[in-house]
Amino acid sequence: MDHDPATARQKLLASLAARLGREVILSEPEELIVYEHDGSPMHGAVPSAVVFPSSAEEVALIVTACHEHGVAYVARGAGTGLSGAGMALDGAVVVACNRMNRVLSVDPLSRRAVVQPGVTNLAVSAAAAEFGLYYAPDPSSQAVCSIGGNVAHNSGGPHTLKHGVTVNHVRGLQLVRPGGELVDVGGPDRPGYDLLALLIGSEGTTGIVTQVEVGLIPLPETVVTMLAAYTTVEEASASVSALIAAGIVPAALELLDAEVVDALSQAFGFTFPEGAGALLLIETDGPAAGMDAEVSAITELTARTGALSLSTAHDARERADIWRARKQAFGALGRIARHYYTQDGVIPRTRLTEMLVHVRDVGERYGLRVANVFHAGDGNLHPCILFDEDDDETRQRVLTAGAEILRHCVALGGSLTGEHGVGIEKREWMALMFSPVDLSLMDRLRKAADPDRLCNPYKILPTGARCIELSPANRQVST
Amino acid sequence: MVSGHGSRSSLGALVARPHCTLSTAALDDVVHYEPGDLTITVGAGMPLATLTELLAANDQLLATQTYRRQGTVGGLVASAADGALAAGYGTVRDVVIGAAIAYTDGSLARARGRVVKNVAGYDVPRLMVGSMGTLGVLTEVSFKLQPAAPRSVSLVAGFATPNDALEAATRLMGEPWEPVFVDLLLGACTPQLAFGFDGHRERIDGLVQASQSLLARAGCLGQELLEDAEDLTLRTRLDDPVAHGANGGDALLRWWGRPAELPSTLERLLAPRDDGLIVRLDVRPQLGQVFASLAHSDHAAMYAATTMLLKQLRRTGSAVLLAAPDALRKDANTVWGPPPADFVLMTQVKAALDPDRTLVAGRFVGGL
Repeated sequence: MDHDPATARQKLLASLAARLGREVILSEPEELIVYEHDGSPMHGAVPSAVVFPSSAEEVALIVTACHEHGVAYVARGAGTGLSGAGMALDGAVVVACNRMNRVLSVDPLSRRAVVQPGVTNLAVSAAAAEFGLYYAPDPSSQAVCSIGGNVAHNSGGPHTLKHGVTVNHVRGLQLVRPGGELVDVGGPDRPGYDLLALLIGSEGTTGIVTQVEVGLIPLPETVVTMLAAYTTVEEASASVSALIAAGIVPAALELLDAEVVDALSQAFGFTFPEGAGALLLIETDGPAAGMDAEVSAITELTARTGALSLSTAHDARERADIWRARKQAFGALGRIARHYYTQDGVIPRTRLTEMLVHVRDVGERYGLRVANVFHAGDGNLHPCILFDEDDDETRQRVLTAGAEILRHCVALGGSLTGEHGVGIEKREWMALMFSPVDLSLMDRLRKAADPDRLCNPYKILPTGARCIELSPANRQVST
Repeated sequence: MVSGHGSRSSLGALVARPHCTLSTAALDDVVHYEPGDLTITVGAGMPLATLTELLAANDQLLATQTYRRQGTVGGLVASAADGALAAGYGTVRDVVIGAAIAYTDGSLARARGRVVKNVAGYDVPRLMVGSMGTLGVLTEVSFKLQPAAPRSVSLVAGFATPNDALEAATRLMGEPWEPVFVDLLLGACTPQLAFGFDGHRERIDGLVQASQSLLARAGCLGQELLEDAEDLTLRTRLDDPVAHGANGGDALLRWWGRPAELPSTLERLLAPRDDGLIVRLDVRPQLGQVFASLAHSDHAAMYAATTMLLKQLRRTGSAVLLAAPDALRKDANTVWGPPPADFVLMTQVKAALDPDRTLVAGRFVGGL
């Protein structure tokens, strides 16, 4: 192994070019700049190269070579991650899985599908649709995000309230382990440790996934989608708490605040009830039998807790319209601000109202507008901090405001991250939630999976040295 | 060895008498309960019956164990002892959201937390599910809970043949009715299909009516609707095969695999036998699981017949002995099956958390 990193990388790339072909490797600066970021605007790191394998065997070859030359590597799917987990720090090599994008099989009898990691989330459901089945985890980016990325982040989405997250729907993985060994990994479907639990949500630090076996579930007989309007976000969140406390757990409960309502109107021409300062999307699904009674219960409860109005989708088109408002919310923010930073935190559902008050207070103190879009049903909030000036002072103010919001999530008994992951973004904040002993134990497991520390290093666990630094010139992240 | 109530002591390979048994009986507190958030954190030594009562007072439940009268929280998690309602409400694995674990180096570490959605750090609590106490000692566990349904009912129908019962179950599961459990009782006197619904009155009424029609069209010999105490009695009986021992038999095993493999597996299990083994089955087709109670009048022949049956079953899925005479428990590979393809990573995880093999070595898969 070379001790000079630059030499090591050169030799690695020469070896990969000889074995895979030069055409599957990007190494010129103007090519690599495309891979500087994932979906977050706040952090960036340019890789030393990007390699595009077409098979599990090629991934194994790449990983083996990286270990031989002592070069760090990180897997990348669609690059839609929001915590920097897919960023290549310290000149790491990106292993881009986009070419591995086939649905290999769908087994309707066993309700399983086997897919390559580059398949988009939505494509899995599309492949299963003819059998009356679908893949439940549905992140907002599902049209573009990859299953490999979903596995890395244990992705959720609006419907995880009823149907769970990625770890509840993956039956098996094929993995290239750090070092290069290709292995089939199981969980509860075979005796032994639930290794899927260790790998799913490990943000690419325990190997590179080359194949995923997912579970599929039947499309529900009935879906009823409703949109309740409220004067204030506090009333909307009180409805959420009341629904949960009453034992009504719908398939999805999504909250949009006044800033988002405004953005959607401006960007896409959506119209909402007069005076609406918050919207609550409520969706329930299940057997047709008794659905009317459930909808009545929801209608009565929302009215009792302050809803101005409740509209119900009468057909698939109206349902799609309601969901478009939710799924395009983040994109709509671009109409009211040049930039936004999406935070991701979780709180107990009973603390929703006070958390929203806190978020508003943070915004006011830091002179920042904050738009709130979140999975209210499971307490997972996404405050989007809006800003126009892209200078270091503003960015630092945004990051500090975001940190304060997360600190409050943890103080209320919640979590730093509900679905976007820790990545590089929240690495140093893990100490807010976990003690040194807790973190040390996690590191032991990580080291068991990756003794050489080359598989997406510097992610998830704190370095213990310092907070993330942003260099003035190009905001490159320091390790 | 870690012990709660010892309700799962029949699981796993026989191990040498441990130097020390660590009892979790004193870890029985409610650490944190937030009914409005449907989450709870309790000590690992809390009896499951106590947990059920506590939750019932708030019209809530942890469905996968709600009918248990023995066992502790720690045992539930360590043995992944999913109940009959797992298909409808989620398995133990699906509802564990956080834990505090003591390790053999004396450290006490927490992972994840107390909220229902959380991806902070590695999912150590879920790794502990089903690990049979070989990685660490659970001291606290956090769960996400479910609201108790206003109404619960069961239906039981008899059929002329096991195939008729399986066909009816298949038709039932093809409907979008979301039964919270489906069980087939086969190999006994009359093949039976039992299933249940939870929900509000209007939903239950509609589903019961539709189900009764389906059962009639499927040619059942008779059917019965169970409510209240009778429904509870049935669900309790079906919930935990391990608690009932080997159902009067000499051994109990669990097979599980792809649902597509279920028909051929059942065919093998129900075929007339010339080895003297008597087989009675409780099938959970939604989960692709079969609990097989095995009996034999001759212990020596029992050993040979059971090991042969396990070998056959392991061709179509996984098969594990849940209770058996000592002769069948001497070898971990007989109990659990041969170590799977990812066993090396398991050994590395074990080495990371219990390097000196202090925790009940030899009981689990591959002798872990």
